[in-house]
Amino acid sequence: MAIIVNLDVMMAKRKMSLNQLSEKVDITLANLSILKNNKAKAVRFSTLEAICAALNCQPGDILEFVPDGEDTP
Amino acid sequence: MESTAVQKIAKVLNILVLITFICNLIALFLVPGVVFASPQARTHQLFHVSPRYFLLAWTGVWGDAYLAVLTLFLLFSGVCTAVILRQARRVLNTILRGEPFSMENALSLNRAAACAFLIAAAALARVVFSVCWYRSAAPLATYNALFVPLFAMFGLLCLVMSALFRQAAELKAENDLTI
Repeated sequence: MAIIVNLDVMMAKRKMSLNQLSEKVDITLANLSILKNNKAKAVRFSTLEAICAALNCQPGDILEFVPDGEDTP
Repeated sequence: MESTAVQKIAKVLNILVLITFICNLIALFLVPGVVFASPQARTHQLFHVSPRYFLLAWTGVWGDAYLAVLTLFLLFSGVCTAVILRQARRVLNTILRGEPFSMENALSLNRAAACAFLIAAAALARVVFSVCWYRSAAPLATYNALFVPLFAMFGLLCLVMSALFRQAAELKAENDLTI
């Protein structure tokens, strides 16, 4: 997949667990897991807004574009 | 509220389809006996309602070419109709479970479409046979001739519904993975 979600990196920087993030943004653990493991097909802007607000970061800190064929950094 | 109303309708329809399915299976057993009792059969005067008569009809009906063709057509159509009703029950069960938009329903409707086309083809074959048998165009004006366009249209409708359900299932899968 070309868009990589670096949610775990930002969560580690903010020292926040998945449970805590789930409570803050009101998204189920299952859905956050799907997002974290790059299984999601799409993300709503409202969800992105809530995650960025909870982690105090920019969308670019969480989302990364990797062209197909290149190695994931 | 809307989904509950649809599920109530689906529940009633499910029961009606089940009754029709059971009657269809019973009718399959009775087909040779009924054909034996038809006016075209020389044996129609022997008709009486008893299990022995209907069992004997299973062996006796193949002696006459016209009765054999009629019996084969009715049995074949009956089996295809039973398959269509079974697929309808499967679709209704998914609606009752609250999961209508699935690939399973697209496949069920594809099977129903195939059976509908088979019935239309069998009806067409019987019309052609009747025209040759009676050596006139009169069979073209019978109800049997109507089965050809009716079941062909029903088959096409099932194919359209199958494509709709397939697209709905794909949209649902994408929506389920939208966070």
